[in-house]
Amino acid sequence: MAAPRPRDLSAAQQYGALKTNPLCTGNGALGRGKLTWMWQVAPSSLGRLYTLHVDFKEGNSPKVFVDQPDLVALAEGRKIPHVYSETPIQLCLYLPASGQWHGRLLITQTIVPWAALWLYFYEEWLVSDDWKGGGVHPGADDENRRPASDAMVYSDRRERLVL
Amino acid sequence: MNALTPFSVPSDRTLVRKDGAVGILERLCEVIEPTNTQKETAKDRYEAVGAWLAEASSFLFSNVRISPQGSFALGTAIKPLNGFEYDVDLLCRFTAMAGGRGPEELKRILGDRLREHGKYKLILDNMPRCWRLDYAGEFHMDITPSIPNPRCLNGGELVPDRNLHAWKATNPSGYLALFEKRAALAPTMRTMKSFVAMDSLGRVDPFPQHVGFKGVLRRIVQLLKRHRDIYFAGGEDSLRPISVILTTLAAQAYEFCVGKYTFDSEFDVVASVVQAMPWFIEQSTLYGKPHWVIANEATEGENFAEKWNAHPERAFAFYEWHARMLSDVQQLATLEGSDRVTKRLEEAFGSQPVRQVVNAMAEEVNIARRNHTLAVAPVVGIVTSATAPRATPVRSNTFYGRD
Repeated sequence: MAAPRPRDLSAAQQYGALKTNPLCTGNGALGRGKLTWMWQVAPSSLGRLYTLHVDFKEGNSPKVFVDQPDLVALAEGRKIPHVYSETPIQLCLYLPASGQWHGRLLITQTIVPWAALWLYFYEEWLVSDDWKGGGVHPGADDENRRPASDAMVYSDRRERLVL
Repeated sequence: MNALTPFSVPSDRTLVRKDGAVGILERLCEVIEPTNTQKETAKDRYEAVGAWLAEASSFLFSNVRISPQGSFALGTAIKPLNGFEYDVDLLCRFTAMAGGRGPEELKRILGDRLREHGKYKLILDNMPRCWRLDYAGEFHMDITPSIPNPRCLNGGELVPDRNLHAWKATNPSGYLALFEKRAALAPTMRTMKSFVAMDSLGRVDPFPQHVGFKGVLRRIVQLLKRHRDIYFAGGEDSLRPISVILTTLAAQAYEFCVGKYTFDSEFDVVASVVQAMPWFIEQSTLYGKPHWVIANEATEGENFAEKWNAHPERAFAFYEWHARMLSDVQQLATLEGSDRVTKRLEEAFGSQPVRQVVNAMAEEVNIARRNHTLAVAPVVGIVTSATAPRATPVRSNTFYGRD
């Protein structure tokens, strides 16, 4: 007998985890099959305190935004790497369709720590002008990819399919 | 769904920031001080010089001893700014018997012996009060002859004065002993606050990966010297306060602060000591002019600030520099953002070593990421070891999106 396919977590389950995880102490609202959660995080002991929020609808990818402070102003005219948009600031935290995110994972175990890591590299980038967090850009050739780790090199090209 | 109510968050991040500032300053000191290899090379070299002198046939060299003095002996040496060599100060201690020769002749006798050595002969420079062995590109060793000071009860020495006409009292070993005694004093810390952080729910976590100072007083002296080097770089060299002034004032201030205060963090020790330094300068008015004294406590009659009295602009330069140093230190606890802290540190201590530290920290994060030990902990953020309490491991991810 085949094992039943694990089901995606519901918005209520995600919401419950967000409410209790000490990394993302904050405030939110749970709707029918969707949620929004706002929290603050400092990426390091010397880091700023950032206000973020995540919007999530069951069956979709969570969308993460940085509300405060104004990352564009801090960047002083430079284009911020690894964002979907600058107004509002929406972070690109994982490779779509790579399995890094799927509906059976908790936002608190993925999006929340990834956002802190993104902000860590963002502050470092503000001074060095060099994004040290690695990553992939849509449509980039293999040579131009800058994965942060061996584990993050993918042999398939699935990410191109989502363009 | 978007109507979010305001929520309270950890408002006092000051203590966490101070802990982060201590961590980055400690790493900075590790970068700006001589490497262990450099220290060992210097030691091997001066021991070899000592052996060469002791082998001399002249009775004047019997029981002669070479010992380091200054920052190398104190453990407060730092790398000079680009293009300069380390300065290793050595005392060549002759016996009282040799003292009868007078400073000028004893210095000549020392030089003659060094010149008998095939290698030393080639790298020997004659300096006003000492001989310099110049190991080009590495460091130079300044060797000053000394004899015991019969009038000093603290075991002090006599060294040639500037014109080699007379002996002048000094006491490097007494100075060193006093510095070491002070450096060994441990500040009283409010441990509950200094090693823990409270998150917004009032829960208490030990600071994960707390990086403390390896010897607060020595680190303070290194930071002062480096800050001074940057501040006076490119300016009038004579205005630059000499290292022994910074070291003496820091040591006195340290002893005072440690005896008087209880601290929340090692950062506060640094800030308090820097603040208290000028309190140990004796200032009076002599013949209508300001007169400064920073006494060498280890010997009678040596005023490290002697030259300020003939050149008051040097005293004013010290006070201006000190105000800047204090404000640079204090701001580390209040600046928002590691980018701003990094920029301030670069201005204060030089770009190169600060970049080196910050890059190494980012590299550690990426190594931990590869090794799956990276985590995020409440309050302090990214930590490179997943053992931090209530930390969430960071799963593998690939940042995406446009360049």
